[in-house]
Amino acid sequence: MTGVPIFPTGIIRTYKSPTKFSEEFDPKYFKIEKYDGSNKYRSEKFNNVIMHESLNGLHEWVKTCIDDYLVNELYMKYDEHFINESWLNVNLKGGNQPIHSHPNSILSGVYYLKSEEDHPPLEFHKTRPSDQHPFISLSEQYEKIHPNTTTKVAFPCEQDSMLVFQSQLYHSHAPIQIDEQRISLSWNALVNFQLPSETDSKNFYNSYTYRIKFVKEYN
Amino acid sequence: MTVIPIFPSGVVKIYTSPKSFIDNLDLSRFTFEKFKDQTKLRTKKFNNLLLQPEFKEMKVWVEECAKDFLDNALKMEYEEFFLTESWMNISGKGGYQKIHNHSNSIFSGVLYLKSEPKHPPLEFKKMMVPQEPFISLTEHYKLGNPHTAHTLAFPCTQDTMIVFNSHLYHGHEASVIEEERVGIAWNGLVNFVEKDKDLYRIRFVREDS
Repeated sequence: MTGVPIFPTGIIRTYKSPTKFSEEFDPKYFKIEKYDGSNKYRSEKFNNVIMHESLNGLHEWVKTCIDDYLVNELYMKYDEHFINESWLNVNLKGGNQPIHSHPNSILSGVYYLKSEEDHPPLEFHKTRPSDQHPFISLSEQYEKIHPNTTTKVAFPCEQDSMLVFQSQLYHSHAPIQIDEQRISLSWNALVNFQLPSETDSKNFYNSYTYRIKFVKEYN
Repeated sequence: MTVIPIFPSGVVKIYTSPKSFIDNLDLSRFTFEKFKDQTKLRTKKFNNLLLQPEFKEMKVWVEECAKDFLDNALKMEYEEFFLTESWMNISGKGGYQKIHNHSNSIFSGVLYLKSEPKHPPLEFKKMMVPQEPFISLTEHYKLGNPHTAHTLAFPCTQDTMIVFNSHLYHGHEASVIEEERVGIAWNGLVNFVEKDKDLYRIRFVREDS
């Protein structure tokens, strides 16, 4: 027994699509622009490409995965969820993605429409809040990489699979080393939570004193 | 499909002692101080009780567990570790411990020398350091889930010891029963293997040798 790891920063789930959406994808419908400073092209995030009718099948499947993640991984009480941003990434040789997270979003995902085994994995990073005190660094003192103490975890970017994760998790990928391009579709989703039940309202901590509701900007 | 929780805040491990150490202890020998406005008594932390002769056997076992935690829970490379502080807590009815963590320490433990099933468990808390407005999800879970919980409680079973990373926040609720709980808590430091002279490193002075 190696102890109980507590309070994970987040959860990553990999979904394999039942249909090869890669075979249905037709890039001619989408406009992509070169990403500043990288050998990478991207569609505008706010175009919400997953709403395009050519991607209806993928959109419906992603929604079932979001339901599954909310119900079975986060055990969340919610009324609805919706994808508020989605965009295409086309990475060429040398294209990379620096460490970032997705603000103004609750769940995120990336579906790999075209990918090769030698493409770099998606790496998640444990980040520290700005230090407020001097601290003792343990990073260099481990004899082995271990899930209890690692600060980086990599997930393969297999074609026709999707990674779903909490939007606050920091992630990145290294530059692509091969000539074959990688195409992925990324999305951000928001969730509108259930109204409190009568029982909840009696409990101070569940009384929803502070709550927010997000506006779905499309129907 | 794979689901992987990533980057835990820390690790908690429970050890069961080979014997009841309380049987050979005379608590009247120790000087306790009362916590302000509390029914809780504590020896001075810097006395490092575990270094005293009557704790010799207990110290050997605590150090075995500490070594196991470093070797197997943290997989750490180190030259030595040592207990820098150890103290005894006696909690009467109403005694509680507010949420805190242990500074200037790498790992910590608490051995329950005397405890009842109705004593409050040791609760670990996930702390947040928001620097921007944030979206709260806390109220929207329908079930407790170890992946999303902000509080995890571990029972304070007599003759068990809970070992954890010192930076983890923890505390316990007020005891609601008459029977006292007696525990011995400790902090430990580690001197690491010098692998690379160019790395920034620190070395702690062992004051008990």
